[in-house]
Amino acid sequence: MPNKRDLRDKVASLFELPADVLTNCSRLTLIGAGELVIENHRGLHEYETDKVVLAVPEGRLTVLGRELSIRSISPDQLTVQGSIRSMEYSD
Amino acid sequence: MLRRLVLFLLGYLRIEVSGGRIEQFLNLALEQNLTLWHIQRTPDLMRASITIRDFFALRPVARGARCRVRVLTRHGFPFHMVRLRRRPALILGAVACVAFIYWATSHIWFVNVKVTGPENLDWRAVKAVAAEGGLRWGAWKRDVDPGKIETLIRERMGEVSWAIVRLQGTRAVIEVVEKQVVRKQGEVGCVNLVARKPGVIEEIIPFQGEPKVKKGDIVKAGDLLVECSFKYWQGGRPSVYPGTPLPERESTARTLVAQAIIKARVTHTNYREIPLIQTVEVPTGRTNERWVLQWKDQTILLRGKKEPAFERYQESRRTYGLPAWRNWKAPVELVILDAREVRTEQEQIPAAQALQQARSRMEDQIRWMLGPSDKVLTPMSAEVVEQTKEFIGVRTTVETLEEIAQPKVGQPLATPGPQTQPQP
Repeated sequence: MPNKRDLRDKVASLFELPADVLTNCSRLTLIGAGELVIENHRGLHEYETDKVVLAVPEGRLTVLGRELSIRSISPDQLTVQGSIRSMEYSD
Repeated sequence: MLRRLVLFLLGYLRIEVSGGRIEQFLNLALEQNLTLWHIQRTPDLMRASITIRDFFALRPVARGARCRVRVLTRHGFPFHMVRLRRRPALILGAVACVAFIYWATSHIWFVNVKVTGPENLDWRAVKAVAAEGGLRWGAWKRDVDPGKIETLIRERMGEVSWAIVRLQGTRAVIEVVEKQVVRKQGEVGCVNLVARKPGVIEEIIPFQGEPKVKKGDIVKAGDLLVECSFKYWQGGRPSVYPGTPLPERESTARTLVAQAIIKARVTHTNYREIPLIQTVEVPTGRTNERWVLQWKDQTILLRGKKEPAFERYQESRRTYGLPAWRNWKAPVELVILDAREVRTEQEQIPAAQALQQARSRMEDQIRWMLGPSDKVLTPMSAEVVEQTKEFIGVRTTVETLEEIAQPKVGQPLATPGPQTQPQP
């Protein structure tokens, strides 16, 4: 029996719907290399001027860069500003 | 922009969070549904912005993360209000300013009249009719009904064919089109000069038109003195002033107005009965002084009673004000009113005094009647015609030299066509 997540993925694939509508995953919007909007985050693990580590449904998202700051933070959305160099998912 | 405006209205704080775990502080704030923005991190502390409402829910969050929160700056309308509450005069001034601007822009301060047409219509007459309809200097704009005033101007002024009233801010513009007299082809209007009182012609200087009287003629009121005419007709253009350039061809359709200086000797005779027992006012010696500060039409009593407690009194007025400068005059002045109580007495006056009163009344009448170029020719004669115990009847006679002509509209003239043009 397929688990619930696989089923949602299949339905989203069948009806050609965006995956974030049905599945519980984070949505990242990167505007140039200066602003990153993360929707559906789970909180903050680490916050330094050169590194921001976030909890997301997929695990952890590490944003590396320089002079990083959080422009706004709310329960469902977080915006990181600064000179973003890389992003990395990890468990 | 809208978000900034909302934040300004709600008010927000810039806070500094130090000590403990900053990340835990942020996560706990998220759990409490608190919104933070402009979060800046330094190795030791964090700075963020938060609304006033959320700030009061921050205490358990800070305690849970073992952080210390310090307010750096306050922004927004609620904090301005706190500052303003300590300065009521400033708020009153701002409110008064707004109220004054509203009041000033709700009134009509300029009324302009634009007359189009032959310009026989005086713009002041249009303004007066508009004022009757409520459109005047200082009128509330909401009380001014342009449609009503347009109708009123058309109804009251027969010379107006069309009128429109426009309100442009604090300015009202009244545009009026004057009716034009449509004459038959080849006709011009005519205004003659007639005598307005009887007399003997002493001097006649015609400027325009044909004199019908000469020096020494006796005229009565209404007699024709100068008739408008094409006296010197030269090739289709009327000559109005001999020796001056001929008018334009279009002026043949104008009205010819006779113009002349006509002076005549006029005899004025008057009979008056002057009572010999007259009521005279005798001062009692009691006086009352009042000091009044006058500001335009408003008066403020500074000293004395509002009204003198005398039944009859004579009042003299002295005014003190700031010196005027060019066409500026100070609107405030101090007025000192001196009231002197009088009582009335019946007094028998001699006939000579009554005669003198009759003369002075006639002199006043003549002075009022004469124009600036008129003059008295002979000394006034006064003779007693009748005398009783009660009154004296006096006939006064004086001869003057007066301008006696007045214009009177005559029949239109037919312009001579080319066929009737006389050879010079």
